Amino acid sequence: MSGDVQSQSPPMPSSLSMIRTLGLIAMISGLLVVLVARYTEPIIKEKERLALEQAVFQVIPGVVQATATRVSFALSEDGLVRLDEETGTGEANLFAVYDDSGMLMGIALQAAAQGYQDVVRTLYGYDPKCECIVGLVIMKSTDTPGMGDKNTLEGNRQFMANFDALSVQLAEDQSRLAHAVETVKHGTKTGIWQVDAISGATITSRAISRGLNESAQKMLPLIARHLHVLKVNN
Amino acid sequence: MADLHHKPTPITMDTFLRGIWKENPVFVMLLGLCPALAVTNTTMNAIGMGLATLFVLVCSSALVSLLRSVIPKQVRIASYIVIIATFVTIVDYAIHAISLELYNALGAFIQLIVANCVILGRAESYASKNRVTKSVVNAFGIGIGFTFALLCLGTVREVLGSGTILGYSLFGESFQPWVVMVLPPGGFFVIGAWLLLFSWLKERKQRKILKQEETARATG
Repeated sequence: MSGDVQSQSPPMPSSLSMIRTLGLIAMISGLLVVLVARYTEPIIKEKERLALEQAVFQVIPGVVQATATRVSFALSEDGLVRLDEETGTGEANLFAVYDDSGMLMGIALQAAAQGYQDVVRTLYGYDPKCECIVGLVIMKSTDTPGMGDKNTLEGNRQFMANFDALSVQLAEDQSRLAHAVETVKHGTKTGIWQVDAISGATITSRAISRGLNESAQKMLPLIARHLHVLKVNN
Repeated sequence: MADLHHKPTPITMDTFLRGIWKENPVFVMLLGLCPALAVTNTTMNAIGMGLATLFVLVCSSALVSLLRSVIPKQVRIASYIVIIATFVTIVDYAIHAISLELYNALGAFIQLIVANCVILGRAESYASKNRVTKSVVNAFGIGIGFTFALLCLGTVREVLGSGTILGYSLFGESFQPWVVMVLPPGGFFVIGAWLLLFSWLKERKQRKILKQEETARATG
């Protein structure tokens, strides 16, 4: 029986023929992927830019989009660099929003930390006058649907109210936060730097406050150093 | 290499419709259940995933069928995987360019279409043995069937779990959503209910046929 099967099976093709076929398929595959990637890359970048722009205006209260101006900066230990939006040079990590008279209304910063399923990305508004976070937008959260996903988090008014005036005051030496931003169990919030967790989405709540804390600890001391430059849009 | 010497059967309406009803990949063959359960917490996610799978299914079937005479049997699975992965990458870029929200909602499940056994199964059992047109028509039917199944799951889960459909509120503020329906267990509950319904319909049809046969035998 097995001998019959063996005698009926087709002859083994040469290695060259197999390599040639795989090479051909790999070439077609590579060509198609490169073409699509090249075509969609600028569209994706533009969409991401627009989404970020929308979010920047959302996290600063009282902004009138028609008259407000957004300026992107790259801020690091090396200094503050104003970025040219038109040419899109450099990686921006700070977005300053100015009113029609060119006065600073607030600063938007990005934060990210590992959540339950993936990284939770947020954009928050910082007001240097009150040294507090004045708004937050969830850019990405794919945590448990109905509990920790983007729409559920943003739809939870009680949780989002944590970020209406969350204190991120700097310590006297201006090198770190006076109190680290932290998430506490639902209903046990006592300090203005604490985030009241969502019951059932504690890991996502913690990821948000951890991201905010890491970003604020790093960026706010640098902002304090360059605040005189940021205050007016020249 | 695939046997190309057998007489090709013509394309009929059944070639297309088979995948939607008689051979529905989710409700009949129980294939591709991972994305079917994981991303169907909203109707929009279900439509997005269904259309993405449909695109990959049709394109990969077309290319596999086109290259069936040059792909040696020994490297066929590797070839199919590369072909499928190509179209999955394309659809991944396309969804990212079309909607950031949908792209973020579907997450890693777009890339995981590569591992969807419905697509590899179609390539191996159908596209590698049939002409391009026939393979495309069949793949289109299977893709529509898969999208239909995802839509059935997604709609029920969104209505019960969020009280909305395509994001529009159905029952107003007073509705208390069954959150469990948008969570993984909800996927199992809803697919179980759909399978029960399909199985009941099938049995009812069989009973009807038997009854008709018995009546015909008694009168004849």
